[in-house]
Amino acid sequence: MEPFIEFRGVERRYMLGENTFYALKDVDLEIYEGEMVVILGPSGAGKSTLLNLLGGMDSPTGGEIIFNGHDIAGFKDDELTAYRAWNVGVVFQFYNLIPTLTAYENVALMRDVRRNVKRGSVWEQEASGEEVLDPAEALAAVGLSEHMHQFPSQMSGGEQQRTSIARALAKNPRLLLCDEPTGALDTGTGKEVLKLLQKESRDNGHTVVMVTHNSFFADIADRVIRVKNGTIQSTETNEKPKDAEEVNW
Amino acid sequence: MLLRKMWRDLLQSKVQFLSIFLMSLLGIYVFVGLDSEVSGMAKYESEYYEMTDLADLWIQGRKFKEDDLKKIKSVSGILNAEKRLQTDGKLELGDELDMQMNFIDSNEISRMRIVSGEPYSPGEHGVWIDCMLAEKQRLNTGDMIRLKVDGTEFDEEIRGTIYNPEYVYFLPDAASIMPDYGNYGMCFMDASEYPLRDEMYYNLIVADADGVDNTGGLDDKEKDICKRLGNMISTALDSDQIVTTDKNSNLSYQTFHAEIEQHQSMTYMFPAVFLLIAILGIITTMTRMTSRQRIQIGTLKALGFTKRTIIRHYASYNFFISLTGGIAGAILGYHTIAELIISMQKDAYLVPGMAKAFSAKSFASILVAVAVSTAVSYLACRKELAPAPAETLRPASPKNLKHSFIEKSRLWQKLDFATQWNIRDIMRNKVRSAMGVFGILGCSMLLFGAFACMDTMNFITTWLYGELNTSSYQIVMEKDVPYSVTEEYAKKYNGQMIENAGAEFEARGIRKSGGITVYDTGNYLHFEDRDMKQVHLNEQGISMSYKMADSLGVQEGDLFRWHLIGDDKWHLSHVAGIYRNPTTQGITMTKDVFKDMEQDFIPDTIYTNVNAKADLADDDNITGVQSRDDMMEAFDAMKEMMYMMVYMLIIAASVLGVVVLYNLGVLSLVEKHREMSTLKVLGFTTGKIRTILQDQNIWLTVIGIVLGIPCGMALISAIFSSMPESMDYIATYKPSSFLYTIIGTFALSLTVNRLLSGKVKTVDMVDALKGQE
Repeated sequence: MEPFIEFRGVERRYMLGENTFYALKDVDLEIYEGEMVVILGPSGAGKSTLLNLLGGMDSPTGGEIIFNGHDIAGFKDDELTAYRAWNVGVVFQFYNLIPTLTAYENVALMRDVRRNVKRGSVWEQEASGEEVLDPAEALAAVGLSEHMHQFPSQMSGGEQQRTSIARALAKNPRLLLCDEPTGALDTGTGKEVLKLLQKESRDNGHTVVMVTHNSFFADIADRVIRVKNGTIQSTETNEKPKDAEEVNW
Repeated sequence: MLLRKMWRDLLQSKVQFLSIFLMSLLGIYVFVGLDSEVSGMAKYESEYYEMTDLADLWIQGRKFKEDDLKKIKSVSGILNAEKRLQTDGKLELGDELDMQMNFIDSNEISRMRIVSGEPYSPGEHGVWIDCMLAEKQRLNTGDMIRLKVDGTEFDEEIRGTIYNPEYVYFLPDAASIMPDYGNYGMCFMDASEYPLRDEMYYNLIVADADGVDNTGGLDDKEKDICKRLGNMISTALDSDQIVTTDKNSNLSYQTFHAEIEQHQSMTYMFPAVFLLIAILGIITTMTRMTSRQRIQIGTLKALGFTKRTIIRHYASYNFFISLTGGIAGAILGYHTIAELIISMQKDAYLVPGMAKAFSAKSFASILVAVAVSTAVSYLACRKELAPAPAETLRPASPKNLKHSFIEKSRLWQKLDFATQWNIRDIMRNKVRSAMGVFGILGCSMLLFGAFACMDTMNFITTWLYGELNTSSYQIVMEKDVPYSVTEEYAKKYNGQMIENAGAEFEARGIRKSGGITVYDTGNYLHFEDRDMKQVHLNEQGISMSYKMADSLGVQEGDLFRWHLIGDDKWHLSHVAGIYRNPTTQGITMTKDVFKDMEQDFIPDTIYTNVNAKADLADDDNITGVQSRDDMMEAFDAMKEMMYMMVYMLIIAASVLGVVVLYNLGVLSLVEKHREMSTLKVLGFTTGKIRTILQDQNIWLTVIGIVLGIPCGMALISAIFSSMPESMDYIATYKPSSFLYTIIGTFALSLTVNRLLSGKVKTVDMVDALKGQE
């Protein structure tokens, strides 16, 4: 099977004064469509850099990133924007909702994204027919029908994160990226969030990549990629991933 | 959805945006208000002069010869010319009213504009009178009136009431300062109506010149044409004794046009201050808003919003604010300022139908304000948009702070904590501090301008009637009363005799018209030098007024030529001294010097301290007696206008001060919230924290005032130096104005501070311990 996403010798370095710091070095990795991948590693290992590169939020300083046959590594700003607009949904650790918009409006924002993005990109053609979900439906799918018109400040952390997931899913993204999605939540609420993400991968066939330092989450992934000091340490495949319900931390 | 975000963000930062809104509103309010007035005046000026074909040249002589008109008409470049007798007469209506009379035999140049009655055609009987006079004195077409000219009375039927383009602005006599239409007037009659038929003469020829149009002012090319034609006319008539003047030397035209230009220059001055503050407000508000929303911007980018969409989003905040502010300001300005000033101008200038006009410039001003605001917001938020979303999603790394030069100095260690804290705060928030200083600068500049306006006006009256002329009464003689008779009156009332006359001056190729004051011995008329110190002028020579010397480019000792209007004889004289006079520019000399030049001394005024009002009420030789109070009253209309301006300035200054200071205060409170709560935790009392904030406010206020007062001085001298050439108004500042400005500005600053520091109490210590959002 052809990989959906492929990293070939990817490198991301930063200049800190006169020193060069490698956040990622010589990374090769493959992700297949519909998989749920967990990227595991201690803080400072390069997990977030990896996620940023996957999401087109940052560009590598070396190597290739092939997404569905296109190398996005050399993309210019507006091409990356179109890539994000059509393919990527992001769930952040601290939800990153717009505080002055209600849950409904935060999700409805995704319509504006598609409306404002450059027309005629390859992504648009590949995604033909995939409309932005109705915000109310997206919120209902995460169980927030009743809180639709509340502002983020009026919701609990779990509710905010579920809104954030609804916002990501509303785009019908081919790639859902999650950066420590349960990091700010208690265990019970965290589990609800994991369930939603797993469902997205299993039932809807979307690729989900989750970054975490919590090794318990390795159990629910189809594949686990361990990162340390900017390099891939190991890649394991779970023959029988657990249900999110069964994980405890 | 981004639109909703915008509205809610606006609501959340309402104080900041309100101040930007108010500044754009005020800027456009003043601009459109003044511009609509100026544009209206300029538009009606051009239209009126075009429609009535105002003369381009006035050729004055004592008595034109029969074929002079023909000669002038044949000068190449002269399109048309008409002769006239222009003389001062009276209208007898119980009281005698001054009436300038024009006897004409055609009216194709400077045509009358008929208000009621029938148009004039050559040979028609009757009189066409000034419509303001007709209205005030309740005269109607068809009424018979009694006129008096050169000592002869005659009756005429009113055939029409009129405006005339040469009488947009006119005064009853040289001593008057402000017009008071309706109490004197002008009229036109056919030459055949002149009562002393056999003695009919012409003293004025008006002409139309090729290449000089009726719109706008005289440009350099037109001035050259007029000058050249003037010389050609002198040659054609073979006479040095006639005076040819262009529009710029015509009191009516010049005063009105200078007024328009003066207002024009003010049109830009005030709005520029407001716009500058709006821009500073936008910079501080937007840089803070975007840095506060850094993570949100990163999120929007991560979600797939294009940079353009995000820029448009943030730029639209001020686009809407400045657009709504601008439109509201334009509507308000057009209906209030423009309305108010134009209605005052209508009392001073007789231009039929004059009204405000909304010009393309006003429209452009809104566009400029909106464009500038939007562009500035773009520049302010660009910084947060440049990096990749991955970077924007992380909190900004703390600013790399350097120690300023003050902190490195030895003095620094000796300063107390509050002072150190404030100095650092100011140095690290330069734009915010600059905005504060500019706001206070603007506030104190306007306040000082307001007070100095009053000072100057008050000074002019006391200068004129307290220092230069110390008499309590002026007895004005009838025309042509012989010297011996006037002398009798002067002896009886122990007065000083004065003759005022019109004259023309020339030096270095520049010709100017002005006045001559000839004085007899006495102790009422005084002179002051360039520096406003009382001086005894050289009684053997001729002294020139400061502004006249300035326009001719001469100094003490320089030669110049002059002659009386209506007299052919040119005199060559040296400037013996320079004196200042606020209302009349020209030369002065004693009667002996005057007589030595073979001129008759015919005094027209007697200065005295004796109240002869009742005594001389019915005296045929006396036109009237004016007390000092009467004369000062002439200034009232002018003062009224000035007060209006003063109130406007004070209101503008207060709004400016309060808005800017409150906005800044809220901004810095929001920013320093955490620091302040930390200080509280550390054990600082609310009072102490309040003092720290107040100190900074006071420093900025002091700097603003120190810079603002000189700007106010510059503003006022700019306003007064753009007055017409005939006026020498010296911008005056009393110590009290400095004091009021300082007190006023401080009062505003401290009041706002009081309002704000109440908020310090609400600062919660818990905030210091909470995580940063």
